[in-house]
Amino acid sequence: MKFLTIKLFIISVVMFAASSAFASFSYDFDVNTSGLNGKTGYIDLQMNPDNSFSVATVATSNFFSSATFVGDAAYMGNAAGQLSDNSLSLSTAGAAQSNDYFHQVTFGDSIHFQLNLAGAPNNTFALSFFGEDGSTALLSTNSLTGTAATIELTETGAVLNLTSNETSATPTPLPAAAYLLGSGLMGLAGLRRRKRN
Amino acid sequence: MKITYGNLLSAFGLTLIATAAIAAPWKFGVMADTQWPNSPDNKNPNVAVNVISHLNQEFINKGVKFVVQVGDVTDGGSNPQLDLRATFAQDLYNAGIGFYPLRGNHESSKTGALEFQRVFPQTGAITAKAGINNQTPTPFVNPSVLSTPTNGTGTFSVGGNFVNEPGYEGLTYSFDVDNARFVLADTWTSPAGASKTYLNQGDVDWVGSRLCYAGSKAGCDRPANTHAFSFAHKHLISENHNDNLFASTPDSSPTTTYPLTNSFMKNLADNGVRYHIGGHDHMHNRAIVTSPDGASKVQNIITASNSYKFYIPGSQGAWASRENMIAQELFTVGYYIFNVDGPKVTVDYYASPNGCNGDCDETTDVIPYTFDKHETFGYSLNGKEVVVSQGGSYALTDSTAKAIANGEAGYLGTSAAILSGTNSSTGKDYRGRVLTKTVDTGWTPAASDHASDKMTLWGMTDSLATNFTNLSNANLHYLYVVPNPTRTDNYALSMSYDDAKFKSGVFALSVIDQNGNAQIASAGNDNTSVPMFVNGPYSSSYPLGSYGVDTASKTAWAVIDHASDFAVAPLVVNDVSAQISAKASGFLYNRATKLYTGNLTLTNTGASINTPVAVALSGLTANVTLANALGQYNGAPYTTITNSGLAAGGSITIAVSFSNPSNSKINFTPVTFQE
Repeated sequence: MKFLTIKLFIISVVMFAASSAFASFSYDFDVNTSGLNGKTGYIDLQMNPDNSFSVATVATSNFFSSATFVGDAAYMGNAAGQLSDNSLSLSTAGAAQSNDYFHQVTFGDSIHFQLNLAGAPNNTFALSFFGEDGSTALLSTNSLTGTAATIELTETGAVLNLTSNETSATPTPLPAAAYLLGSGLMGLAGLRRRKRN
Repeated sequence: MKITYGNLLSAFGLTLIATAAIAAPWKFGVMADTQWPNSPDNKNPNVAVNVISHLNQEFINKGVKFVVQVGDVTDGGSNPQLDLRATFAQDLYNAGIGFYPLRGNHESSKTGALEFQRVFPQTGAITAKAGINNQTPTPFVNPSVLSTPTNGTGTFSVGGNFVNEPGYEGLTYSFDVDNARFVLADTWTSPAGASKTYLNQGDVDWVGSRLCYAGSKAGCDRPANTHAFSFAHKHLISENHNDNLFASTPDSSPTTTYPLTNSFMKNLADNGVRYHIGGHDHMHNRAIVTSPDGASKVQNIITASNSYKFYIPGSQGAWASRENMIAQELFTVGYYIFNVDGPKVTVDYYASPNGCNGDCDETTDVIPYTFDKHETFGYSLNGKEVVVSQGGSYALTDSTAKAIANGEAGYLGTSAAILSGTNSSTGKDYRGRVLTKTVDTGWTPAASDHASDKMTLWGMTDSLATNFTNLSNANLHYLYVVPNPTRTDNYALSMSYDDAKFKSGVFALSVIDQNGNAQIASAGNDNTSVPMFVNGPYSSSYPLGSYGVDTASKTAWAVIDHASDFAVAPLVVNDVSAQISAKASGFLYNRATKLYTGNLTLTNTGASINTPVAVALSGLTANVTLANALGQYNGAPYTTITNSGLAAGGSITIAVSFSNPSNSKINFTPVTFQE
């Protein structure tokens, strides 16, 4: 049994290394909210699939900001945790609805967080800000989407699209261990299926 | 007016004409003067028998119900010549086609009147024979050089409600066919010997009594919303001759001629008569004539020669200023097919070169009899007419409001507009007058699968003019050119559509052929036109071949260079999913627009496609709606993704938005098709 587990793990690592169908990316986001300092609005994070319903996840870390979150966040689909305590995650797996984290906030001068994405192509992350009414897009130059930034996972990588003059996103090199982690997770998933069988 | 057999038949005729509004389309033919001197080749012995035989076959091929000849049926008007003319109507009779002639100045005598009544009994000189064709009496004189047509059928009736002008039985008469009235006025010596050359007030009043609408005054029996056509040998204004319907030299006797002209033209104009049709001048000529008092306007059609004579326009004095010239063609042998389709009348003028390229007086028959369509024009009782001078704009608007007000049923309610285009014709008549255009519209209720009613456009093609290389010697230097009867100036046409119907399929502004088949309007353009779709309103910068949909105003439009019947109709499209792959991004919710938006990238893995490509989203998640969908393809909402095609290996990314009130994951299968 132990031998089988190791064998599956090695196969998973080889498959992952050979394929771009499952990838991980990380970005440091910095948002200049000084123009909104003291105002109330909303921060909105989405992660949704295309019509193929492939699976990807996004998680946040390294959050720091002078903003103050107000009340409880609103969640939809497969979203959980808080941006403020680095526990936020959204996944396109499973849920019938789209995935959204929507939290009221009193803006300070800036917001910083790290975004970690992993998964299959044809999933898209979006960061948006809205006014106190919850529907007036802020810090966006794209009236069609109302977003400040999007990251689309594609067959060839992640495509960052900044649609805000106040938002920047810098790719963060992933540690080699991240690949091993992802591969290991896939290997363990395979093992669990094997055990069920 | 005395009681005639025709009067007694009027009740029957009234029923006939009133119930014909829903009749199937039908046709009648018009031919002109067939006098010919004794030709050396014996083909046309004082009657243009060879011309008649060719025209008979043309009329048979075109499927007309009857033929009207506008006088000068012989050269000398003798009884043998009239008998010969009557005999050579036999081919028409054998085909079940009626024949209703008039006299001209070549049969103007008393003896001509009596023989005309005898050999053409269908015109009603003997009331019991009115309307009954193929009853040419025998014996008749037949030159030995000709073989006699065989009577191959029995008698048959065409038309009803025959009414004669008293004293001119079978010479000045009217009759009804389906939803049209025909009034034919003789202007010559009566059978009783009363000399006459022009219409008098009594004639004019009788014509008026046959044209007036029932209920407008005592004795009027013509139902509303029916057609009427006026025929005589001569015209409102002549082009070659000095004389017209009213006088030998109209300008020289204005005190008597002008009131008579005003009265006659008022009878026509007030009763919706669009065309007065005559012969006499041996040329094709159309003009809008204004009455001397300026109150009435009627289109005067002079019919092309069916003879050896091909006249050249002369001087008309002051009368010329009352003509707004539309078309003029010299030196052709021609005939006319009037297609009556409910409220619509379409006239096709067919002509052949005369074989000598001028006014040759060639008594040997050199006519090649190669007939082509040279011009089409028309009108509708439910449309409008706009006069467009050279350099003028085609801009017009019209709707089905008049059709509905006329009591016609089955309309969706459609409006149309010509949004751009200028009359760039440069044609002139022989005397140098510029030719204008009469643009007419007409409406037909929508076909069951169309999203708009059908609109017919007439008069957009290039003005028909004779092309001379040397105006100073026209009879020798005429350059014959076959005109293009279909191509027009570039113009943008827009039609409104029924939104619910439009959204049920793939629709566009389409041209509708005679069988009701629809083809995208831009496909009828010339070969240099490139189809280009625009999702939005028309702009003057769009070139020929552009077409689009403005969902805000619910109109479909196209930039085209042809005119016929148009409707917003479903397109026949080709599924190209096998060669165009589609890939989407994730769909993101915009709380400002309440829509989910993502990108759709389509890649052509096959051969180049040169027409607009669209994508339908089949199996779209329940309760999810494609925003700004143009319609449906096989039940799936679609939107157009390329304006003018997709090159081999090329790809294009478009944004798609959805209304998704349940915030469901959005699923679909893309299906691509080319328009």
